[in-house]
Amino acid sequence: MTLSPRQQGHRKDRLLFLGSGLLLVVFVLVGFAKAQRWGTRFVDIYIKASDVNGLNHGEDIRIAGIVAGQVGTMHLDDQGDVKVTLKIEENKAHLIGPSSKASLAKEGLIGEPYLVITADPRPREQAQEIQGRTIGYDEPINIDALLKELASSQQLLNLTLRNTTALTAENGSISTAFHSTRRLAESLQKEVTAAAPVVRESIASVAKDVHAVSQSTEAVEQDTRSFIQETQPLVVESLKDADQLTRSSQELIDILRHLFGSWLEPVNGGGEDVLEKQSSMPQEEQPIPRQE
Amino acid sequence: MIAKQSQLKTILLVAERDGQRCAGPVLIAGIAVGVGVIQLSTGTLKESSPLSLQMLSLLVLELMGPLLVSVLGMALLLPRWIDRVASTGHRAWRRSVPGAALIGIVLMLMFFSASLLAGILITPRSELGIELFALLAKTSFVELLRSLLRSAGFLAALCAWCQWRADGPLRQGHRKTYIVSNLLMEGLMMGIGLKLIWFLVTKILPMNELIR
Repeated sequence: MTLSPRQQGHRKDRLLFLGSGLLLVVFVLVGFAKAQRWGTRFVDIYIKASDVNGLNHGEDIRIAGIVAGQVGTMHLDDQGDVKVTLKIEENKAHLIGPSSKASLAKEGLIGEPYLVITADPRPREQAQEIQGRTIGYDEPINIDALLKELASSQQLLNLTLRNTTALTAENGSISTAFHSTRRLAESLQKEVTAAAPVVRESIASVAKDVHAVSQSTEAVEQDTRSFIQETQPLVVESLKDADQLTRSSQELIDILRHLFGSWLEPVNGGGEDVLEKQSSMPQEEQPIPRQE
Repeated sequence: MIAKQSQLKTILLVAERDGQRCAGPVLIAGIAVGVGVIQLSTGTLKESSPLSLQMLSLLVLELMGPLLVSVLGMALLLPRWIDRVASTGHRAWRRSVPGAALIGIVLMLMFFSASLLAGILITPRSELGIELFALLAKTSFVELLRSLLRSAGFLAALCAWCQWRADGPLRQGHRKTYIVSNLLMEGLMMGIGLKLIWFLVTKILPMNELIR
């Protein structure tokens, strides 16, 4: 049985819509499977956060810049914390350890957000040990709080700038102080200019006086020195003579004591006391040391 | 068994013929929506490409996809549905309604794919593969399935409604143009009504948790 061209055309078109629809279904399924990593085995770990703004289901998790999983479900617990499930590919789970930390990052300034986990490598055999564990999470900076702080800082800065402007203005304190200093310097310069010759003359006359005094002092010193040199032998001779005289006198006194000692004893029989006193006397009558 | 196989073949044939009629306009509508939304988002609203694509995906799956596809399908297939009622009587729904459901699924998938591909091609980044996979990674597959089923349900419901409503006037000898005109208006209202009902059921009523 032969088919007419129209019938052949109908037969060719019979599965055009449903066939293309089926093909589309296959493509979409493959696309979803590849994009959402269907069939990949994951290890579930958790993070606890008080604020999960910016963190969304399905976002990439990266270790050292390489995609290693995706963010799973989020649950708010009774303490008001959010427990987030992180689905880590099984073959990369050994890179995460108890000291790993998660933090939120972004591609560029306005790019896609993703979660970064710091690596804490362990042996591959221990990959499953991290299953069900909770790792630390560094929450991102609260932009609102930061903006408030920035606003208060800006206010302080504005105040400071205003004060600085007031100080440095034409009639401000710093300018006034500069003017006063300049005036003072000018008057000081005038005074110094006027007083400088007088001071110079005074200094010159004082220098002359000092020079004269110095010269006269030197002359006196010379005189004194020559006088001492001249009188020194005489003085030495005199001293020698005095010493000789003292010795002679001492000897004379000793002779006289021996001669008239018994006559000089006291009436009340205190001759011994007198003798004792006389024996103690030589301490006072020591010979005068010879002077050089 | 043979009867069932024969009926299945008939349904597939009906779906094929009706689908061929609708595929072109639906694909064009998808491309128009994709290009329009992305241009609006990246151009006027100055949003980033990934965010714009995500918005497009959500817009197609959650908001306009099933309604647009089912209303467009109804507008294109209404004459055929009425013809079948005229030729087969009130039993026409047995072939038309399952066929419409099947068409609804495929058309929705086409609309989704066309809008996403057009959107990705028009984004400033225009890295087709990377952006497509990034978008699919963020799109919930369950949401896509739900959207496909909703589209199938809407189109099947519209088909059943139109064929049921056409039976009486046809018997009374009303002109088909008059019936098509009336049913277009009713179908449009019903499509929007179905959308509202779905929204009420899933978002407002406590059934939300059960359905999700």
